[in-house]
Amino acid sequence: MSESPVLVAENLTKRFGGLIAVNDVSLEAIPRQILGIMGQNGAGKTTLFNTFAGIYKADGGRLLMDGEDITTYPAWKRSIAGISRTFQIPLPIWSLSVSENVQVGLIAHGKSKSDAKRIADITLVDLGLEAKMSSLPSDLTPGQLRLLEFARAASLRPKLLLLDEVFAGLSQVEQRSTAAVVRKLKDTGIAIIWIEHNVRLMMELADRIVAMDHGRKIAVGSPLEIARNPDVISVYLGRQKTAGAQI
Amino acid sequence: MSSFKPFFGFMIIPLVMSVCLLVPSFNLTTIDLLMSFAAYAALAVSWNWVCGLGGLMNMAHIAFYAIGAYSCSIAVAKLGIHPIFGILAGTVITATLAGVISYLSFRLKVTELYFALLTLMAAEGIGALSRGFENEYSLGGIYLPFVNDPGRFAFLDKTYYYYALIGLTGVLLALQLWVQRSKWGLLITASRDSERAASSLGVPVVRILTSVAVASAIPPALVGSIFALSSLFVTVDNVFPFELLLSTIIATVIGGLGTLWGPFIGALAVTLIHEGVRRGVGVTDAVGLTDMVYGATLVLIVVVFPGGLIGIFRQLRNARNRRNAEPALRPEHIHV
Ligand SMILES: Nc1ncnc2c1ncn2[C@@H]1O[C@H](COP(=O)(O)OP(=O)(O)OP(=O)(O)O)[C@@H](O)[C@H]1O
Ligand SMILES: [Mg+2]
Repeated sequence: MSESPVLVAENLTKRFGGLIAVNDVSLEAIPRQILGIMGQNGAGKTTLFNTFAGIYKADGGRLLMDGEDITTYPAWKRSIAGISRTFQIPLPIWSLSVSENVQVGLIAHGKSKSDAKRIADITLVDLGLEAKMSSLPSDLTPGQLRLLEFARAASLRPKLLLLDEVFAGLSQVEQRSTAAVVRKLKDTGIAIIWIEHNVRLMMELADRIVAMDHGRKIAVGSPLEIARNPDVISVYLGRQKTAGAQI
Repeated sequence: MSSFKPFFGFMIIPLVMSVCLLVPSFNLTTIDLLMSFAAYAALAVSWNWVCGLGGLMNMAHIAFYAIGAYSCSIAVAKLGIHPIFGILAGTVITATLAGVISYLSFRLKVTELYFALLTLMAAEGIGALSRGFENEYSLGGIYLPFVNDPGRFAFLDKTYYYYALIGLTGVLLALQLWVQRSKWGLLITASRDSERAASSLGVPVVRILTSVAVASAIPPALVGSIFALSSLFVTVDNVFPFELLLSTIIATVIGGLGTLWGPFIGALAVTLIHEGVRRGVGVTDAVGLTDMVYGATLVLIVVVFPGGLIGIFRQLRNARNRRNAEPALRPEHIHV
């Protein structure tokens, strides 16, 4: 196909006691592409992200970043290697301002203090958060907290961006500006993996989609292929008739 | 005004320290009282680094103080070498210990209350070890010669040790201000607040917080060394008083955890509480009045000034800013 993948996951498995949250999942993230991940609550999507980002150590399988084995890297080293992620439940640094929250990552990635501030502020302006730059995260709405998550991850210009339900709870206006930034990032050559419950949005934005169920990857393909996949329809789309009808 | 602000922070440190240095010449109070104030200040400022800035309840601070006192006194009294070697050895030992303790704690995920307990036990262990050695080799403690030899940090006049402690405190405050304003400040706060968020942003949280713990272990060793040089007598009972740990923590907390001047102001408060109790009930505080006053002060602070004593200044400043700002913000002015 087009470009070679930045991230290759081979047979990743993550267990919590007896529960296999991620079961033998393999996938590839390709530059300039948005890989959507869909699946019901508890399908293992966030856990998959956490094993990518190094919050959890995989119990089995390998992770290759540009061919380099990063399976044993701690979280911070994966970030430096080029994986950025957002948290599904926003995890701001509460005692730092909104702008400083973004600066932290930039500084950790070697930017000077003044460069970090400049890049952070540009990112926040792009996302419509300019009025909140010097506020504390506690002054933000839930939607703005998600935007902050997105700003922190996106400002680092990663090779791979992991977005965990960034659109949930955003207003229409915020959804549009965020989608614009996502597209812009994609065009700069970043690979994006994107967890989303909004099927319509996913069909619109994703280049390829992986469907998960009970920790397993049950299908992969273009949005159209996924929409027609009988397994996907039976476990997922079948229960969301309205969403399915809109495709 | 805003361009003046960054300098103001650094200017105020030498200013306050100069005032502290001038106090002995007015004979307002005894040098012992000033010494204990300055020691509390240096101990509290450095404990605030690990606990307030780093979020690690390190109870071994007092053991670091003892190690400093021992290494300095052993160098002078037992080995007959220049105290500087003892002082350096003390800082190397405490820094290493702090590094090992915090690194292992992160590795084994010993956090919060468990970390406090672990470090308290480490302190107890070092105390027991010292007692064992004292009984074996140096019954009754270590005595340093009472001589005037400025080249070897030996002064008959204790005021010089007070100057050293105040100088140390000033350096510690300036260092803290500098670090907090540098990019390290953000990385430290992020590491303290959320390990998960910070590490996902590329911050090597364990390295950062271990460095903070190591840095904060050096000042207590220096204070311990100065104590040894000035008191000329080191024994387990005078370098391991639980009271010193308690006072350090109380000073930091009532002054304002995580702030620049809070621990310093808290040290002043703790010294005044001590002195007040001493004058009230005599030298031996048999009934534990000090602890009761501590408790009462703590409750008062928590209820009235949740941010610590330093919060009083903040509240005053905010009130003044509001007063100044209000007229411009009133709606009738906007419509004019
Ligand atoms: N830290 C954990 N400890 C134990 N079990 C966990 C942990 N994290 C997730 N799980 C379990 O693993 C399974 C997958 O959870 P995960 O959060 O990955 O699902 P998800 O697909 O992201 O769901 P959602 O759409 O609700 O976000 C769930 O059954 C969940 O309860
Ligand atoms: Mg999830």
